[in-house]
Amino acid sequence: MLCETLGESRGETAARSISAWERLVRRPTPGNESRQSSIALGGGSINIAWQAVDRHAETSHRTHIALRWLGRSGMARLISYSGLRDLTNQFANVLVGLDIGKGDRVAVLTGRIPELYVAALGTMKNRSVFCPLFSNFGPEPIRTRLELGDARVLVTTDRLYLRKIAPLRALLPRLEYVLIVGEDGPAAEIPGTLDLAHLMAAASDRFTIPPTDPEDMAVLHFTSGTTGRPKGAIHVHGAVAAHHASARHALDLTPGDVFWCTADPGWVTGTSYGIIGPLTIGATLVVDQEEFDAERWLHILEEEQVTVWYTAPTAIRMLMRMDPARFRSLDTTALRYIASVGEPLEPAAVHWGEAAFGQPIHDTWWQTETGAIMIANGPGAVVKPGSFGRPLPGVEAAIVHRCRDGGVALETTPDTPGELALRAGWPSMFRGYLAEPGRYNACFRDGWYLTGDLARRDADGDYWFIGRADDVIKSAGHLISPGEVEAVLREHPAVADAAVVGLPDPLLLQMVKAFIVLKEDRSESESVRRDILGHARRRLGAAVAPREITFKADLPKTRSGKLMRRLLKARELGIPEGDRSSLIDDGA
Amino acid sequence: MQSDIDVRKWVIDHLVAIAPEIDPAMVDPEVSFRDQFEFDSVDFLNFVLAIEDELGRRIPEVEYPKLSTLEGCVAWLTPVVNKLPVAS
Repeated sequence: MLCETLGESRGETAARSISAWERLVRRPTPGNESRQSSIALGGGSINIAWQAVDRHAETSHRTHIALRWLGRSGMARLISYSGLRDLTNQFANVLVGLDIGKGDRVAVLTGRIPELYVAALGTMKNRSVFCPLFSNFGPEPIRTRLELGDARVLVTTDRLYLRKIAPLRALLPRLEYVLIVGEDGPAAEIPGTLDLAHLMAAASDRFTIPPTDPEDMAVLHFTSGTTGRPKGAIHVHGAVAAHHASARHALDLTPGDVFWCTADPGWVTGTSYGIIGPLTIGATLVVDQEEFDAERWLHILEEEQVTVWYTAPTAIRMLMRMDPARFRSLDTTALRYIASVGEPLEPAAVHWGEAAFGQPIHDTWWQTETGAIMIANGPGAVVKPGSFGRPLPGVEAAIVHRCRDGGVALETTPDTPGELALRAGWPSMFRGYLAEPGRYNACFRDGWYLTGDLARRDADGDYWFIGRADDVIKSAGHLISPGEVEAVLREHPAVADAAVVGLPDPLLLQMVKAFIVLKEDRSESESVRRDILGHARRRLGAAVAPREITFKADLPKTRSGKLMRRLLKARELGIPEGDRSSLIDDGA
Repeated sequence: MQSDIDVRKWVIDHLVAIAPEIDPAMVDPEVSFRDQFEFDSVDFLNFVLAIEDELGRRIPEVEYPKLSTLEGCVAWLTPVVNKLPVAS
């Protein structure tokens, strides 16, 4: 292991690509304004919504369909680029009317409905900050994120408001406006809220995007760490250069494509590629309101003539359960590119993709913090099943080890596990965790961003995922914080202590499992187990709550009282437990 | 499993095993589970798998949408359950 920079032959490609990025984001210097005018707002401005929507609405592309929305009940809605421009202008004017301005956070908690897309882009037009919240979250993760994100506005539906927000409202004094969308027709009249449709109807569809600095905050995406407190990753308008370039180079998108990103915008994939990237290309987004349903999905691929499909391993594994004959009768001649993200795609899934669709599934790797795809099996790449490919042009990746002196040592021997690191400075890199500079700075060493993912690189330069370096759980493509789940479990009156780990799961990669120590006066029973599970699901939502609960007499902790989740997990799986010398008591 | 069981109660038992926060008395038989509770696609799959286990037969994916409501489950499962041999 040597502390030296990697002598990669990618240097030239990287330089070319960075200069392309610079052309997109660089402030104009005297003499080159004309080159800027076709790609930016002018005056050094760069605004994601302008790049994604207005830029196309000013050309003959204006009549092209930007959004093809498929409603739950079979209803559909088509929105052209010019239509999307007008709607997002109206939304921006609604915000102006409420005196919501630059940097103010606008949280959105809805299912995949057209208003979500309008709110996201309209918010960015107004230079306010779009903060998406996953609609399957329970009240607790929602409250924490609204509070930490310091949201002034929340856009949600009548049903979600009554179920999840109304009981919390008194705890959120800084939340000034709640804009309601009706789930079934006009919004119900709810005290303390405003009817979004009513505000939109009264708002002008003309709006001039104010000068936007590439470093202005555009999106606030919460992600999970080991502890209970989620981290608000800050993304800026200049990130659009990477959204655009990666949509082109990692997903092979072109303006004529019909693109279906199955991720929910509550997660970063659903924002960077479910909204921004493909729109900057000028493609047509397919948006399905419904949750996963195998038959429905195949029908969408066929009926909508999807050309590029970006999905996730858990969904692929669910499709793999289907009768292979079903795929022989499926007409997916339009489908020319399939990519996946969220967790490593196992070789069996890649092979299945070849059998079912006649083409490989291209795994991609990135995180909330990276803002855009960093490493991928790109178009034309020979896919090694199980590998997530190579860094995109302009991205420098390495396998590193953290040194005691606070620096890193680069791993140069192929196939040696270490932590995946990225050379800091790409356009979509997060610019901070909101109000937590310490946590942000801890992610960087020697100019490298440390991803927390363990990986190896083979002799050809392809990367392979190994696991997380910390206790964060990766389940169904989502990061789940064990601390956040444990804190809610400990609120239950029967629970003395709780530990949460991710156990290997054939469908989800990892399944959230909780180990519970009951209070001394409580005894183990199925009814107590169910009561705790129900409590966790009510508070956290199904996607975050444990799927399994087991009782334990006590939990392994270090001498300083720190929970040893890895030891618990090792015992559960019957694998070697490693160094136990710092254990104070043996929970086995 | 006996063929004379109350299919409705049996379905609700499976629902509650996965999502104990569901109040059986509050289940709207006509509305999909997803639309009335926090019941995600993984919960739904686990629910179907548990039913498959007990029936001792696989339920094809094309049939899944029919199992998305309580009424749908009862309608689809009753004839299947009635064809099961009576336990001796």
